[in-house]
Amino acid sequence: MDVQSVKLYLQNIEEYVMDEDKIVTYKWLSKNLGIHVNTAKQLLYTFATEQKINVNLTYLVGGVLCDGTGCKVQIVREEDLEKAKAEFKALTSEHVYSVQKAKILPDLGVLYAVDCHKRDENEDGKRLSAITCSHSVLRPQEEIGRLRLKARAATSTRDAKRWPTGHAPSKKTAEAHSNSEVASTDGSKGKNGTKKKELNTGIAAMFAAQTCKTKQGGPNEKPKAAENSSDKPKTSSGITMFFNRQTEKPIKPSVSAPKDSPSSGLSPKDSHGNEVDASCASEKLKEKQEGNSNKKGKVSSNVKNSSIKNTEQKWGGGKGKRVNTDEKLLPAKKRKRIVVVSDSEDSSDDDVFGRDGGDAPDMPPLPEVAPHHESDTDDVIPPTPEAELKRGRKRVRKMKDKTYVDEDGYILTCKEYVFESCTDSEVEQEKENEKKLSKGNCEQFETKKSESVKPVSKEPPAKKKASPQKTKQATLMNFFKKSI
Amino acid sequence: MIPQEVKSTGSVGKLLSSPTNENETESVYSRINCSFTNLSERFGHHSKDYSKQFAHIYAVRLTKMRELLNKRIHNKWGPDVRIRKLHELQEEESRKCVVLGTLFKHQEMKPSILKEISEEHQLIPQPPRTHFFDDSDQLILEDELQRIRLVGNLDVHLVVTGVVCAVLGNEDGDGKFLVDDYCWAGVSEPIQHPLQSNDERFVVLLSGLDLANSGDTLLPFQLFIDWIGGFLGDMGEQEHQACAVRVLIAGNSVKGCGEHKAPVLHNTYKTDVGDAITLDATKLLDDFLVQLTSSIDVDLMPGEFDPSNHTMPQQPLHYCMFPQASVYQTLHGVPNPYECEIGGRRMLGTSGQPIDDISRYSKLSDPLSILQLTLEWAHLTPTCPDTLSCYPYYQEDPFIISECPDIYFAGNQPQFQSKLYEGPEGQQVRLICIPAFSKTHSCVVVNLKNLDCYTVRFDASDSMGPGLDK
Repeated sequence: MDVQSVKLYLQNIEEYVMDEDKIVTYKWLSKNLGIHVNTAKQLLYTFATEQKINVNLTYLVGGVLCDGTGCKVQIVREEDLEKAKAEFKALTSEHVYSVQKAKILPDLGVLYAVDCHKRDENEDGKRLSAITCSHSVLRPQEEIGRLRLKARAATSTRDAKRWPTGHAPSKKTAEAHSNSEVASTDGSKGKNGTKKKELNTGIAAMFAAQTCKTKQGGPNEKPKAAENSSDKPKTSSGITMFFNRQTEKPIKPSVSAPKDSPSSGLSPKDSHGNEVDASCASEKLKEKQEGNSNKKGKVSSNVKNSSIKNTEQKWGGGKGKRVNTDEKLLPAKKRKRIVVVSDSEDSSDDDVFGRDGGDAPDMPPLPEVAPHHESDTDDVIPPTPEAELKRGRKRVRKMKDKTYVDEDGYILTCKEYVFESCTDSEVEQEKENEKKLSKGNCEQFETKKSESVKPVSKEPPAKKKASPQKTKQATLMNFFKKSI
Repeated sequence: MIPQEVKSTGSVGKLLSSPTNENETESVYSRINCSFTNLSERFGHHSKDYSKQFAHIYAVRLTKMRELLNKRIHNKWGPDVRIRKLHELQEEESRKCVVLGTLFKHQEMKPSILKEISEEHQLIPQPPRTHFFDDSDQLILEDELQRIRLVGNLDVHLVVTGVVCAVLGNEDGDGKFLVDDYCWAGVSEPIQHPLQSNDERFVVLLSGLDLANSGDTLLPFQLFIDWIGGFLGDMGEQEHQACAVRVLIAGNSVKGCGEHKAPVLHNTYKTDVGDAITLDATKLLDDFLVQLTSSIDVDLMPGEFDPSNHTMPQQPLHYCMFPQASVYQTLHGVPNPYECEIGGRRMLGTSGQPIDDISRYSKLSDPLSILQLTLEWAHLTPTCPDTLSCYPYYQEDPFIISECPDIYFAGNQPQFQSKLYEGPEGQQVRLICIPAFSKTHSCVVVNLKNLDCYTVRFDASDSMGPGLDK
C-alpha cells in the first residue's frame, strides 16, 4: 500500500472520527473502504498514534490465559490494556479494535451497534476477511425451493382449514348484506317517497318499480303502514305480493339499523342521551310503521314483556326496575345487532348524516360499496365484542348482578357503585326510572320520552325510516367527501 | 490441553504498525475442508404415529440392550454365571444368579398428574419442586413379565428409571432381590476410524445463545463470529481459525429458558409478547447465522426452548426460519440428539435435556458425571419416556448408544467441563459439557486430531469490572 493511499485513508478516518464523531471499528472501516481487515487495523493504529491526544482507543487482545481456563478474546480500553495483557500466558492477538473521539465509552456494548448497522448494507464483506471458505456456496435455487416446499406442505392443511372458516363466511355475510341492502334500500325508497328509483337497474329496478306502486297508492309519510294495511290489496297482484314480502322482510333490519348505529358509534361517556334519542326515535318509528291497527297490540305486548321481565327481576328491588328499562331496550337492540352485524366507528357519522342528510338517497351505487366495507369491518371487529363495547358498562353490570343474586343478595351495593361511575347514563337511567315508577307503563314512558326529545327526534325518524342502509351509504359518501 | 501454545506469538503485534507491505498482512487463508457424514437419520421422524403406547420403548430397549449386556456379564462375572429371568428365580432358591431388566425408581415425590387431580382440593399448594428424589425412593427391576424389588448393593440415588442393567445376587425370602453387584451395558468397543488427516482440525461447539433474553451476549457473540470468520486477531490467530472446520450450536439458540409467568390480570387485553420475542430472536439468530454460514459449516441443533417440537428427538429447526442463512449450503439443520462423523471422528450428543432431567430425579448433580454415566448405561436418554417426553417408538429405541463415539457432548450446562473417558477396552471418549454461551460467553474448541479441548471466552465486559481482577 503506497503512502498516498494511506494518507487518503487516514484522512478518511479523521473525517469519520473527528468530524462525524463516529466510533470507527476496524470492521466498519474495512467494509466502508473495502480494504482487508488487517489493513484496516493497521490504519487505525497509524491514525491513533498520529492523533494520540485527541482520540480514544479500544484494543482487542487474545491469547491463552494464565489460569489454565483456556483462551480468551477480549476488547479492552486503552488504559486497561496492560492490565489485561498481564492475564495472558501467551498472547495470540493484539490490535486496535476501534477509535473514537469520546473519552470514555460507558459501555463497550455500543461497539456491537456500530457493526450491527453495517451488516445488512454490505453483504460481500466476506472477501475482506482473512479466511475464505470454498465450500460455503449458495444453495441452488431448486434446493431452496425444495426446503420451502417442505414447509408449505406442512402448513397447507392448516391454510385449507382456515380459509373456509375465516373468509368464506365473511363473503357470505357480505353477500347477505348486499342482498338485504339492495332489498331494503328499495323498500325504503318507496317509503321515503323520493323519486330516485330511475337510477336503479336490474332487480333493484324491479323492486323499485314495485315499491313505487305501493307508494303511489299509499300515504307518503307512512308507506309502511300503507303497505301493511291499506295498500297491499289494491296494488298487489301475485307477483308484487311476493316482492312486497321480500321488501318487507329486510325492513325490520333496516329499521333496526338506525337504533343500532347511533348507540354503537357513541363513546361510552355520552352515549346514553343519544341512545335514548335514538331508541325513542326508533320506537316512534315503529309505532308509525305498525300503523294504527297494530299499535295497540304492539304496545300491549311491549308492556307484557316488560312486566314479565319485571317479575323476573324483582330480585333487585328498586334497582330491578332500573335494569328493567335496560332490559327493555336491550332485546330490541339484540335483534338488530344480529342483522346489521357490525356498524363500526363511522356510525356516529351515520347519525349525524341521518339528521341532515337530505341527499342521502341519491347515491344508488353505494349499496355495492357498503357491503364490502361492512364485511371488511366484520373481519377486523368481531360483532360480539363490539356489542359489548357499545353498551359495555351497563351490560357488564347487569351480568354481575345476576351472579351476585345467585350467591348472595347483599352484594348488590356493588352494583350501585358501578352505576355511579358512568354518570351520564346514570342520570338518564334515573329519569327513566322515575317515569317508570310513576306510571309503570311502557307506553307512557315512551310517549314522555319522545315528547322530551321531540325537537331532535322529529326530523330523524323520517330520515331514519327512510333507510338505515341509506344512512350507511351516506356515511360512506360522507367519508369520501371529507377525505377528498 | 492448552491450545497451540506459543506457536503464533511471533506475529503478534504486527498489526500495531503502519500498513506497509500488503503481502505480509493481507494474507488470506482458505478454510480447511473436512469429510463429514451425518449419522442422525434414526433421530428423524419418518412417520408420525402417536397411537402407540410407551411400553413398547421399554420392551425394545430391553431386547436390544440384553445383547449388549450379555457380553458384559460374561466379561465381568465369568462365563459360567447363570442368567435367569425373573420368573425363573423361584427355581433358583436363593442361589446366586444374574437377572436382567429395566430399572424403575419408585419415587413418592415424582409429579403425577393423577395425584395432582386427586389432591386438588387439599389445603395449601406446595411450592414447586425442582428435584424429586427422596430417601424413601425404592428401586425395582422389571423384565418382560415381572418386577422385583432390589435391595443391597445398588444405590437407588445413583440411577434413574429406564436404565437397563444386570444385577448379580440372590432372591431373599420375602420377594426382594439382594444385589451383590451390578453391570451396565457399558461403552461398546471402539471402532477404529482412520483419521482423515493428521493436520490440526477443530470443531467449535457452543450452546445456549438465548438470544431472546440477552442483550449483553450480542457483542461477545459477534466477536465469536468475527473470530471464526477471520476478521479478528493477528495473522497467526486467523491462520489458526482457518483450521476450524465446523461450528456446532447445541440448542437453545433462540431461547434459553422457559416463559416467566408474570402475574397477569385476567380479562385484560394481552399482547402476545412471548411470540414477538421469539420472532425477534429468530431473526437475530438468522442475522448471526448468515455471517457464520458464509465462512464455515454450521450445524444447528434445536434445544429445549427452541421453536421445534418438545419431545425427544427434536426435529431440526426449519430452514424457513432462517431466510438469509439458509441460502448457504453450509447451514445444516440437525436434530437433537445428533450424531455425525467429522474427519473420521464420531460425535454424539444432545442439547442437555437428558442430563438436566437425570439430575432432577437422582442425587447425581455433576453434569459431567451424569454424562459419563449415560455413556456407561449406553443410553442417551434413559429417562425417556418416563420423565422426559419422547416420541412413542415401538420398533426401535434410537437413543441406545450402540457405537462408541469419540466426542460425546451435552449442551446448555452451567459451566464448561470436560474429561477424556477411558473405557475398559481402550476406548477414548472426549466428554464435554458445553456451557451456555449466554452465561459464560465461551465456546468449546475440540481438536479432532488428539481430542484436546479448551474454551475460548469472548469478553467485552467492562475492564474495570470485577471480572478481570482475578
